[in-house]
Amino acid sequence: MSGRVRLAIAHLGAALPLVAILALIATGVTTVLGPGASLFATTLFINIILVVSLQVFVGNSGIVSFGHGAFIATGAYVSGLLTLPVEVKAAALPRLPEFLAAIELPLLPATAISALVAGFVAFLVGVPTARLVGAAASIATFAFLVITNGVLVGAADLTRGTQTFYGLRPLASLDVVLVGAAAVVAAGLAFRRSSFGLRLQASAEDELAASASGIDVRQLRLIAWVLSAMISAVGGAFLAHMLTSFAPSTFYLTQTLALLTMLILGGQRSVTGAVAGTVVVTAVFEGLRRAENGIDLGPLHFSGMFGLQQLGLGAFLLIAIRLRREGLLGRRELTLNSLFRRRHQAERPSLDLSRDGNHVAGGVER
Amino acid sequence: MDEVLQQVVNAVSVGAVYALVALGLALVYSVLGLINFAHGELMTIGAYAFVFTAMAGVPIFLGVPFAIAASASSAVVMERIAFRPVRGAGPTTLLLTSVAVSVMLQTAFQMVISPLPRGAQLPDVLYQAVHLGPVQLSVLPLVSAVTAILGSGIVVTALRKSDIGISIRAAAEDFTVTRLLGVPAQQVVQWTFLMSGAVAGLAGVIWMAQRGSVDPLMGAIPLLKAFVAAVLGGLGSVPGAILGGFTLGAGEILLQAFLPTALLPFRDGIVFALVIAVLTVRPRGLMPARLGERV
Amino acid sequence: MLQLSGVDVRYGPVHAVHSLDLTVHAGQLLTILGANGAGKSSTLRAIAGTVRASAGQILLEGRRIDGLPAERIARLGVSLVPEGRGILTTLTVEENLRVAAIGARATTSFATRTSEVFELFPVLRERRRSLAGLLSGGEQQQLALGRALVQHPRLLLLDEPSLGLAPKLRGQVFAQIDELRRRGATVVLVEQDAQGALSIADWAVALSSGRKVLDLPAPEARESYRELEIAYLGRTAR
Repeated sequence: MSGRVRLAIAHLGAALPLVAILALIATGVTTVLGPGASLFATTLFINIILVVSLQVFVGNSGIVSFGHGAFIATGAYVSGLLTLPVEVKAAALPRLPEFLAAIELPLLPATAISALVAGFVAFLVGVPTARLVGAAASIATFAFLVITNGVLVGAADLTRGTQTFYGLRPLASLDVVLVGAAAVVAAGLAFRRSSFGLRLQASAEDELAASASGIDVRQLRLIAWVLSAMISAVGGAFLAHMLTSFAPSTFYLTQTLALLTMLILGGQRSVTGAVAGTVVVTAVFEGLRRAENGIDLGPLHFSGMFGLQQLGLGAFLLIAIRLRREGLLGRRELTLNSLFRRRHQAERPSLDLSRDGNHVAGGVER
Repeated sequence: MDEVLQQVVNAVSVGAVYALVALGLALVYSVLGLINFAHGELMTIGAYAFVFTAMAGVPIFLGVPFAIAASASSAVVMERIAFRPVRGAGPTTLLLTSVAVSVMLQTAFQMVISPLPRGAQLPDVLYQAVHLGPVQLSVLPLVSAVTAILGSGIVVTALRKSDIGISIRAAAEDFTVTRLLGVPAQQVVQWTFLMSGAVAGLAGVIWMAQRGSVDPLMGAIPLLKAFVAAVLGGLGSVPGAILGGFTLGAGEILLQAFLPTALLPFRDGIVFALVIAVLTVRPRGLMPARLGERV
Repeated sequence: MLQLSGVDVRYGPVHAVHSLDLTVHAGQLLTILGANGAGKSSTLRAIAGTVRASAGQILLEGRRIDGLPAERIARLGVSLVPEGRGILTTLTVEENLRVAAIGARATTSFATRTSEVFELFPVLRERRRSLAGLLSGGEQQQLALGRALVQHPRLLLLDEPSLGLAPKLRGQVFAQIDELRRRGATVVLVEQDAQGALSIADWAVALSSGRKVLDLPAPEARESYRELEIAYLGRTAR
């Protein structure tokens, strides 16, 4: 076996513990909470896909992205257009181009195509903006989200504009989504540990030093951006086929903030952290929803009606941040290596940053 | 001629409000490295405070200072409860904290006050037109513009001349050195929040006057616009934020006036595309905070 | 006036200062010498409070100051001019001085304090409205000292004041520090330029890898070539 193949297997194998945990969660949830909970489990795994896709970009490049909702939407609308039954399309989208109106694909090919479209868009947008960092980059991603939202609303012939895009077949079964989540997690871990990922993380730590070492930072950022866009689209496609109806607002500010919350709470530096954060926030939100006995809408939905839910979630977040500043897991990953490695005792630092109030002056976000 | 001048006044009016909000954001960011997503809610607090005083029959010249005071004190409380415990944490943690505070406040408004908009009866004169020589202009945008510019001017002067202003600028450049010179760090932070809250309150009143009502989610849009404006101007730079605010406001009004009707829904998208274009050419903004700053 | 006993300074796993004992008498000029990374700056930072000592005590005129926040220590009369001078470049010369006056909660007026500074450093008066970032290296050094003076410090801590200055300017800096000492300040001077420092110091301490290797009156220190070699070059005893 060549070195490369062995390395690839090592990367994938390293993901085993996490994947195993995901499978456990899936079976555990459905057996303990009953079949009604399969909706919750499906939501959870879709969220995991979406948050890990964010992690691939944010966690490696250090740039907070508000723009991934655009790719999630791309995944949803493109795959939806491809899987929608022809009769529904004729009724809901009378002015579709001929080739789209006639086509009806199964979920997986549609998802794959939507991922390619998202990747292409990401590439187009990423090339001019790859040089931005920090707050400027984040603003650019936010602008991208707003622009995409506007396009979705405006291209009513394809998307039904602000009206609900409905009639999708409920193709996102728990099995499919679970496999998808496992694959995405493995991919995220592999990327993070690959030479691409490592070089990108180095550049996020110290851009000057990295580029002096010959690392082409822009190219790496672009790769991470495109890859994460494609994964987001996959998540978006699954989300669309679970919800079976949606609108541009589904993929706008509320969802963006929710996903960012899950990522940052868990610790954006690691895939394991992203997963952990997603699980915790989704579970807490679900728990609060049941406690409040509200209306069953399935996916995470910060709506004004769920007052107690949001309040509770916000309070929970503040407390969690207070207790664990770097996110739940910081930078640690759960991999085969980490399970068998011995822990060193870290000395307690004498520098008490919380009291000193030191902060990094300047505009960079890490 | 009237039309053009009116548009100019509108542009200045909108820009001045964005500038006001952006400068509040920039102030806190420059000292703490925190982008306060809850800044929009500080605006909303000011607007609600004003509406309640108006409903109680209190005249405007008392209602406005009351609103400013309400926002300013809320900001100080916010710092004490939410931000002080996480001081020194990474920028994303700070961001997330402010998002959590923002969501909680929005929810609290919905639950405690009402999800529906509340209006207030403003003096009729504001809705009329005034004659300045040969031209006729609407009063409200004019008053908004003047008030916002005055507010910004007061803050900038305070930053330039007053003891606390100089301390804030010093802390923004180098917190440690400022402490070594004996300046109490905690107080500087509190004053920073107080000032940013005060401008947010004033901006909230103006924004409410222009919309005619206040509702729980009112602060979200101005916040995002102000965030864009602050980055456009150079994040952390107060003069930059003001420039960014006026630029953004002017851009919006110009596009609003000159875009063909079919493209009007895309106005925000076009504005933002232009912002991205500017940022690609000037990644650190139009007027970056310092020379030799680390990227 | 100043006493350190058993002071340890760590940055995470890095142990910068080991169990340091130090005494400085009022009106004395103590110089701390040593190579890069020997722990000299960390010692000053621990005294000034920007870093917390992980063990030991620091006493200022009998009162414990370790663990106090930096601004409290500054107001007790300890002025640190940090490495690189810590000039606030976006403020003017005058504003830099004013920040110091604000921090000092000056009892005498700002005008009085600044005129004291301008008397000692006349170039600052000429450049009072310039942005501090535009000053030359030597002028910035004077501003840093002037700023410390505004605080009317009982104890002046200087971290490598001659760093980055041309040799002729370095002589000036040492002369200025000497002048301050003659006016009654107690000074702890950290320096890499051993010769310059020893020319004005009363007492010398040398650190090597965080430990004290020399503790002598300055005239004797000037003769102790071997110990200085060990401190700077790490050679073991011959």
